[in-house]
Amino acid sequence: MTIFIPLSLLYVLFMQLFVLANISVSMYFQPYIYLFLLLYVEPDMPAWSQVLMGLFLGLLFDMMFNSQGVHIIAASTVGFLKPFLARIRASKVVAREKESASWLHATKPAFKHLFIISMIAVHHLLVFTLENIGHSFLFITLPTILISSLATYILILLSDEIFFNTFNLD
Amino acid sequence: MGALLQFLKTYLHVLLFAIALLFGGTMLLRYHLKYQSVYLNTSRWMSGNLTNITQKVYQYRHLQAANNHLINENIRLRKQMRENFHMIPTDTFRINDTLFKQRYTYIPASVIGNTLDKADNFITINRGRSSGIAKGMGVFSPDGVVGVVQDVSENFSIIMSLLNSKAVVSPKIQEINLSQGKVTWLNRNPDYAYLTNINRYEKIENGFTVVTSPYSQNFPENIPIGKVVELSEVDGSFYKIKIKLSTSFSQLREVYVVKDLLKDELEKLYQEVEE
Repeated sequence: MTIFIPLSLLYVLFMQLFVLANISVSMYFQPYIYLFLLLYVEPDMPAWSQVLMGLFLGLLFDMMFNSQGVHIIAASTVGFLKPFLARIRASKVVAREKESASWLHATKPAFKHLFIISMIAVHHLLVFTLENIGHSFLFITLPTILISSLATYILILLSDEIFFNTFNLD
Repeated sequence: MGALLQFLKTYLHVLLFAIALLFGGTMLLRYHLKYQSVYLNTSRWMSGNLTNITQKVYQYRHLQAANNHLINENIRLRKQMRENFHMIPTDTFRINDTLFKQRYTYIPASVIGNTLDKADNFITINRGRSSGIAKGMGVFSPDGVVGVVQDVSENFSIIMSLLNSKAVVSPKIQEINLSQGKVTWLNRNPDYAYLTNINRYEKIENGFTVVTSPYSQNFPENIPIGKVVELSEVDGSFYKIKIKLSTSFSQLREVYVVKDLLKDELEKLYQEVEE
């Protein structure tokens, strides 16, 4: 887990800048894979460090996408809410197969998926609502939130597979 | 110090989150064009509203002062009206190079008691002998005649309202400059009175204005009394004229008491004639 943070940071930067930035499917398709890093980091870390990580990631992506603080607000909110939501997992914990496996692998699948979906929803709702202010919520903001959230969700599950199963990086 | 550190340790994430929101929000407002315009519009709207509210509160708090100021100014202006001056004939004598000598002055007062539903109605005002009010002085509101001072204590006065069976006012019909008859209140309707003893050969029409007569003992000339609304003949010689009163007695708040500066002199003269 110690190398997870730098390695996943490089991974999300690479994916976001060199892969996703070059895929132009639709104006509604804007997945943000950096959430993978935020969500998979151990929730037992101090709460302030997770907010700080959200702030740092948000600032980094705001600079890259020239999005003027939108990602700072959204990523910090995810970092702030994550420990509260992760506390619910107490009753959902199953035995970790390996000591170094991701904390989400030690929870029941239903909790894992619900947790990822809800965090993505909060993040994307904030990002696209703030970005699309003045545009139609029903015809622009809402479809963007739904399609991008679905895309981000699929990409995070793929990244989970790549990191923790294919390369057995845990 | 320990407590502060403990507090920081417990709530550091909340503090950091607040800083992050503040930072992100500031960036949005500073660099995002739409937020800039929303921010500017909102701040202008808020500051405009705030100024408006502050102004309204200020005006409300100073209503009493503004009211007093207006009353005083009103009195000052009324004092300058021609009706308040008594002309001194220039062919007999002249005093201090002036043609006019002031006859009337006014004392402002507030109504603190008022009856409307009796046959003989009275009004109480918050000024009395200490303010210079005496029995027999006329009282009017900004709308018109109210009554005559009936009784006075040190700080209060009782006014015999025009809505009193014993109240009588000397009228003048303004349009034809006719000073004749008397205005009395004959019924229980506080909006109407009657003008009687007017010769039926006078050309009077509905809508004519009735004001105080120059022969009135209590009022200066031309204070409104009411407007003619109905004419009927009595005994074939006189009119009984129904008039709509100018003063709304149910909404009476501020009144002026008329002080006739020449009243003593006139009364003394009448007494000498009677003797």
